[in-house]
Amino acid sequence: MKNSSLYIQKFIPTLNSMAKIQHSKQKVFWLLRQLNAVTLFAFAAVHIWVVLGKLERPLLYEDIRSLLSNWTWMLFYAFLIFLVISHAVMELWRALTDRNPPGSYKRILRIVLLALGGFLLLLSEWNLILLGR
Amino acid sequence: MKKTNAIKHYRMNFRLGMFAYLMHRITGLMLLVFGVLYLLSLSAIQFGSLAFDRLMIFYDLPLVRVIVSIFILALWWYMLSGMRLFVISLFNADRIQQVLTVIQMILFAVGTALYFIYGFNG
Repeated sequence: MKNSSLYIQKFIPTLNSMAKIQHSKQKVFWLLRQLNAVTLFAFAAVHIWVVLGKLERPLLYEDIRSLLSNWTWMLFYAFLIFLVISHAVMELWRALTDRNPPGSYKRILRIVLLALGGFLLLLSEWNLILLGR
Repeated sequence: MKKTNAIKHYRMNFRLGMFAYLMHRITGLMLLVFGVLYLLSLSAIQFGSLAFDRLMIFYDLPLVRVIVSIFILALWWYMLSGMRLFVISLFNADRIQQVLTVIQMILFAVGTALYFIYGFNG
């Protein structure tokens, strides 16, 4: 069993980088970060195309409302907001805990980041609903 | 062993890899500040569609457009930098990270040129 897992790790580099991480919590965090980053890249590229190519400037309420009246775009932007805020929270956490600070600092930081991220997420999703109405 | 502070460490090791690392952090910080302000500013819709339209017209003023452009370019750099890190992580490509940084810089220059030709004036 151990041999087969080593064999897989040797030929799949992603698993190899994951194997270097010792704690399972960190592995899940690492995997979530990678997935979040790749999805965000694709979503951000589509958003840039919408803002710079699809819609006319200045962007006005009616144009945005007609775009968001399509539920696909509404879902797209709801998910984009979630991806942006979760990426910001995760990267900020990573940057601020780079030098392995004490546990008490980490606990407070976790609460602050989750509270701020949650607030911004709720506010932005609410604004999106208002824009689409 | 004497502990060196972060700034001294960055100055001592300032090469292409360190430049890419610092730029990723700086553009990330810029996007964090701008992104939060931008998301909060969209709350103008809570005060009605007229308030929202006024905000959008403000974003279209020439000086504001220049500032927004800086952040769009920061976003472009950050996206490319993120992809470089993803490729390094996915393929264990530490050995070619300098080449990847150069490719990233070329793509950034191309994207910037295309943005000013097609995107800046709307």
